[in-house]
Amino acid sequence: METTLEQLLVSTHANACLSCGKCTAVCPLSVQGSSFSPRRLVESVVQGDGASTLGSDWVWECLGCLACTQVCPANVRFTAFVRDLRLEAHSAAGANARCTHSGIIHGWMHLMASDGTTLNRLDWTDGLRISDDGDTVYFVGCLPFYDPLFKDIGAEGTDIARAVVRILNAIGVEPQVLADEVCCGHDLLWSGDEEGFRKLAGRNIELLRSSGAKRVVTACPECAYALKVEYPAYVGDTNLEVLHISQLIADAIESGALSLKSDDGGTVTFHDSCWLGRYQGLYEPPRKALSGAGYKLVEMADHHGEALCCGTGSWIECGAVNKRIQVERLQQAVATGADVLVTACPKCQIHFRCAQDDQGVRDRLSMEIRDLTTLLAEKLASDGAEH
Amino acid sequence: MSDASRSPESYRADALIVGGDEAAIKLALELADGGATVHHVTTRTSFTAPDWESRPELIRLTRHPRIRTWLESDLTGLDRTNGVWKAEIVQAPQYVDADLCTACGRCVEKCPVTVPNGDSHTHAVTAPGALEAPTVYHIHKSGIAPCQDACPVHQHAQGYIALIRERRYAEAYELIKADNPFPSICGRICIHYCEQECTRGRVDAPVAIMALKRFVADWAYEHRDELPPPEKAIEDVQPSGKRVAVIGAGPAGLTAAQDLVRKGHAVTVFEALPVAGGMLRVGVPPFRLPHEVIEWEVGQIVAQGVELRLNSRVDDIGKLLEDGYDAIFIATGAHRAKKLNIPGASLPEVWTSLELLRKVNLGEPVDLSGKHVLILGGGNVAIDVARTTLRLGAKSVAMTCLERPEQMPASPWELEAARYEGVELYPGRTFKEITSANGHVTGVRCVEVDFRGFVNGRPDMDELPGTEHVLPADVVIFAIGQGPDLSFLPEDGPIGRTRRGTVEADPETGTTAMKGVFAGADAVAGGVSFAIDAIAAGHRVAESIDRYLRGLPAERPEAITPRRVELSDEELKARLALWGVNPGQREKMPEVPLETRLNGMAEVELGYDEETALREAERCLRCGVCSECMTCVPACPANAIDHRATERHVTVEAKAVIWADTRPAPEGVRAIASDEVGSAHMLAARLIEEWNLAPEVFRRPRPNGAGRIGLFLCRCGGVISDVIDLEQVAQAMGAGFELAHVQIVDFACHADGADAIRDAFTAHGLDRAVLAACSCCSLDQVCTSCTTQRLRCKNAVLKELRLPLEMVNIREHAAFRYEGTDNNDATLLAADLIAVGLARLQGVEWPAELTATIAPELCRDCGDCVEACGIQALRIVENGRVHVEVDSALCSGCGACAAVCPTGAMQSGEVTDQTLGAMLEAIRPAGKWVMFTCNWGGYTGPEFAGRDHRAWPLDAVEIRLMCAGRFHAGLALKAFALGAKGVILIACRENECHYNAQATMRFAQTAELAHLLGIGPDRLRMIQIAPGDVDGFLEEMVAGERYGNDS
Repeated sequence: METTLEQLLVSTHANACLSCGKCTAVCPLSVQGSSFSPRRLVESVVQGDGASTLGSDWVWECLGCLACTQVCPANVRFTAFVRDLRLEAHSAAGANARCTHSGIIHGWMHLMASDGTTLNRLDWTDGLRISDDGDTVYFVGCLPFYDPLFKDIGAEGTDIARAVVRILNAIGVEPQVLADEVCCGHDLLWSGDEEGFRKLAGRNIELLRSSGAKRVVTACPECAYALKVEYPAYVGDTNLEVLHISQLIADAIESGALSLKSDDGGTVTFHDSCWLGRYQGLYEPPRKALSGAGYKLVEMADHHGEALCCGTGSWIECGAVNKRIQVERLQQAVATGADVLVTACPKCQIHFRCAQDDQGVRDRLSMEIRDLTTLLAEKLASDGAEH
Repeated sequence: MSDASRSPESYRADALIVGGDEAAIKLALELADGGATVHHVTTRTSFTAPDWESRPELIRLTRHPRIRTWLESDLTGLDRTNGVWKAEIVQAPQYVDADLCTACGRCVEKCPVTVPNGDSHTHAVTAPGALEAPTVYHIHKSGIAPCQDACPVHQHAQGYIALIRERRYAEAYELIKADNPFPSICGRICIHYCEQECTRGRVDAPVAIMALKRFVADWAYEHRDELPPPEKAIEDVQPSGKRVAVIGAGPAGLTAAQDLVRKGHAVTVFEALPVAGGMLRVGVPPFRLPHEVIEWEVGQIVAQGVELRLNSRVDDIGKLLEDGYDAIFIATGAHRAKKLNIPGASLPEVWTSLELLRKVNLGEPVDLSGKHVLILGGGNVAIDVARTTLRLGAKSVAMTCLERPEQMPASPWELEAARYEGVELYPGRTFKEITSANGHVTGVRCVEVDFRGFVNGRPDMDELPGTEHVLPADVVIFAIGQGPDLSFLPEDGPIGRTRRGTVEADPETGTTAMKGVFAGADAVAGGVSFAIDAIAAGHRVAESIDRYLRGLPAERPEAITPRRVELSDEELKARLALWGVNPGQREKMPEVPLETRLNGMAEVELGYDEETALREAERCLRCGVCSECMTCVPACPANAIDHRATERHVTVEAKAVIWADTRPAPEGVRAIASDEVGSAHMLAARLIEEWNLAPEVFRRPRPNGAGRIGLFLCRCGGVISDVIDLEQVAQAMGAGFELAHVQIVDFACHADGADAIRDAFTAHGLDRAVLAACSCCSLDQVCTSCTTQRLRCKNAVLKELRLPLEMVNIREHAAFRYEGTDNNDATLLAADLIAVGLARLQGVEWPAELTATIAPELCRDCGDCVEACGIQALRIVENGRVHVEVDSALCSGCGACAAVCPTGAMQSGEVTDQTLGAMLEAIRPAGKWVMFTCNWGGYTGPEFAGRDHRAWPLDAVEIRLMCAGRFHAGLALKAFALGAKGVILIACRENECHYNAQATMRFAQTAELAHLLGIGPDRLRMIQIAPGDVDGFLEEMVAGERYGNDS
């Protein structure tokens, strides 16, 4: 085990840690009073306390937001270090994260990973122009599953999927949507379950390769990252160009392929998802899209590379501290005076809505939260039927 | 109980509360929570919560370690001295021991008594209602039925009639035989006191109880080869080494002989005659009592090891003692028939009744053809003689007696039978002389009398002048009474004789002046009594002899006579209405027609056929409701039923008596209105303060040290151990884990089992253990759904020792699953399941609470749990910020909160999602239907499937949840991910449970998610079922099976 951990220290550059504590200073968990500290986690492994570290809660608490890595003077790839620690803790020590939502989400991921599961996930496509052999695949992700699970907090699920296809149709793209698509597996990987991730990735890669398409677009930054980065790293390349929908929209507005009603849409503020911003550097496309649609964009106190995380990830380890992060972020959003908080990640929206649902904070954090796509779909020239 | 230092029937408490209403309950709980010991007296049978929200209070009341509730009890005395109250309390008989009953329901299945209840019916034993506490079955017994009370051996007539109605003849026979070794005999010739007392006689005619007994006995005779052999009764008897001689093989002697061999004594019966049966064999004509039924019943007694020596007259009692007999029973009967000392009485054609009957019964030729026979006497024996002589060819048969017909001691039905067959009757006469010519009888000279009865054994009568006449006859037979033949007793011996010529002995105990020698029945009573009296005497003397042989005093402890049921006219009317009884007639006994019956000694009465017997049995009015058929007793695996239970008297000394009853309070007793909950609260607070008590929090600390782990394996009385090789499991676990102690117990759920486990904890220094036992115990938590009894074992360890006990269900999950297929698989699976439990004990910190727990670091204070809780046990506290808290006093551990918690912060005690997940993996659901059963609706399934040893209706495995509200999609998806063929949620019906809405909502969400995952309703079902509805459950499951196969 020590050998694996030693290799891990090398591969993630963690052995270069200077123990300076810059990471902990910016870690949203630490800032909100959690005992979690990136510096201490690295330090404990570096000092050879790996075995007990693998059994500790620390392994699972990191949000993976990448804020620490951005400020690290020693170039330690902390989130990669955490991810691989989790893989090791799970495979070698049998440890598991504490799942949120009664393990339902991990449950469907595991089911999709098991042989013989056939899916029934395209009920939302009525009235949309879908192609069987188009150049573009729209990778829907888990959106259809969010509808039943997050009905009570009003989270947007297949609303986003419909908006994406309508926008694509407006650009003149008739996307393929794959009936047998499974979860991208990103969250399994970050829950330590490499085997489950490999199975899901394998199924998707095969599907995408045989689709005949040239590119794959998704409204979920984590799906995009998984397809673009994690699949090639762990399983294999899809050989397709991977785009987040915001990139496509921004390009289409710029090229004139997409014309949106540019009447005054009011003031909005945009939340940079970790996996869209810090991981993929896609800060501007969503902002361009919003401006192009006539929205006045105001920024929160933390934005772009310094944006505060939505507070939780991979459907594990969510609690009081995570809620404080969400409340903090919502307070930042409310402070902008904007009418709408826009996200380009369905999960960020779920987490913010969940925090808002608490009767203790409901009044002061009341604010409309929308996905970039559903908001923009309202500005489509042909709008009316859908909303 | 906390007052263990007192003797069992005398208690000391802080407070005594009288009343069973809201205020009394509240007060008891408030006081007990505050640290007071409380005795609580109520006339109620149980408590019923008005709604689900209130039920946890009742559970707490009946389970509180500082409250002792006396149900069905009342004060009989109350006084106060030196500031201390002393209350005398009487509790009605508790036929079901609340501490033992596990509410399994097996008794109800056996109960043959049905009580109409709307369109349906209940039984004499009923299940507790869903909202009731404590969860104990209740036997409805208003007392002993008059028939049973009237019978000298207390035959459970109402019981065997109830069993006949159910066509359960073997059980009916067994019930009769329990008190009477001669059902065939008593079914024919019994005096049947029972029928005289039968309540039905007040409506139309008594139930033909004797005929019904005969029906059962005849059925048993026909099926004698299928019945358990008589030897079975002595299978487990330990020999005492004592020898008993019984003199006389009549009903008394043989009854005693059977009783005594069953107690382990060696018994020899000496019989002077060449046949056994005593007066029944030689004094009753065969057309009333065929010899083969006597031989059959005597044979059964002999088969139990009684040595029968025929042709063995005993003339010297002392010699028997010298021969080594430890005790002697003189049961010689009354075989000396009397003659009147009148002229002509010694003529050769003048016989006695017994001379004739004995000859006939021993097969000696008696030719009366062409003779005119006159019988002197008016009793049943006279009639037997008359009817016998008719069958011996007599030309005419007449009877004459002192009495007028209505005064005759003969039973009216006997007299009627005789007259029907042609016997003439000359009543109201006294006999002066037997006339003769040439040394041969010619008749009897009689005088008519005005007879008024016997005074001091002598007739009180006046002869009517001028009525002298001769009744002509060739043969005269005296049938005027019998007495014991005591020629074997020396006149000056140690055993005395009475003036009446009987053995001097205590009529109750049978003791004589000679040590070790007992006497009873006719030898003591004098004249001929009835067979059932002799049987009763045989039982009594046998008990005396047994007591003597065991060195106990002859005087028995005073028997407490159970209350006899006397239905008032109103009650009788109500009873008739309840069963829809229409007055009618009792069923006639079929007989051989007159034309053919006199041609020989063949039996006249033919006995009921089945249909007739069933019709007659239906006439019984079930006076006592419970018929004491006793079939529930062996059916109860907990031995919780005692039909002999009597009133219980206890005294309680208390600092305060509080009256919270609807009845007015006695003078000087503090009272609160029975519905004034508010004042109960204030009063409790005041008393607690006054007494300076401190509440003791019941909380389990974490065990110290590395852990000395014990493993207890429950045999479940064989139900588990017949399938699972527990020894092998014990070995395997011992090899795989470091165990400080391994023990196999018979019934972990019994008080005995709980004690054994608790004691082992102490003796072996255990600080934690796994108990591998049955169903709901796999979820180790406080639960409104769970019966309080099943928690007994947990209480013994958890409450008293406060140490962790991990429960693993190897009964439903392993034993039942593989029963009849593969015991080895069952054993392996049991070992796997136990290993999960042991691993958990080794590796997991033991939670401190049985109720819902919150992991504060995971709680987001979203309040979803607060909304889900049906009993307001959760609340949001705002101390500057929102914060969810559990009120552990109210929380029932159902887990509905845990099912909605988005972060896993809320868990229902130890039953975390991780536990349930581990259980799911351990029960190997691949290819099976996984049933998530709630403890109410779903309780039905596993309990009943197991009880009847019916196979599971589906290829199913079960995860028992406290409540269907605990179910969530995560569990179902996990089951599917593990390869389950399907998932079934079994819940209560709508409106029967406040968690139904929760369960329905969660199931709907599951179904939506499952649909997306390609899992249709053919693999995911929710069944809503009433608790206890076995048939409904099985129907649903079979329907599901079909459904599943179609897919």
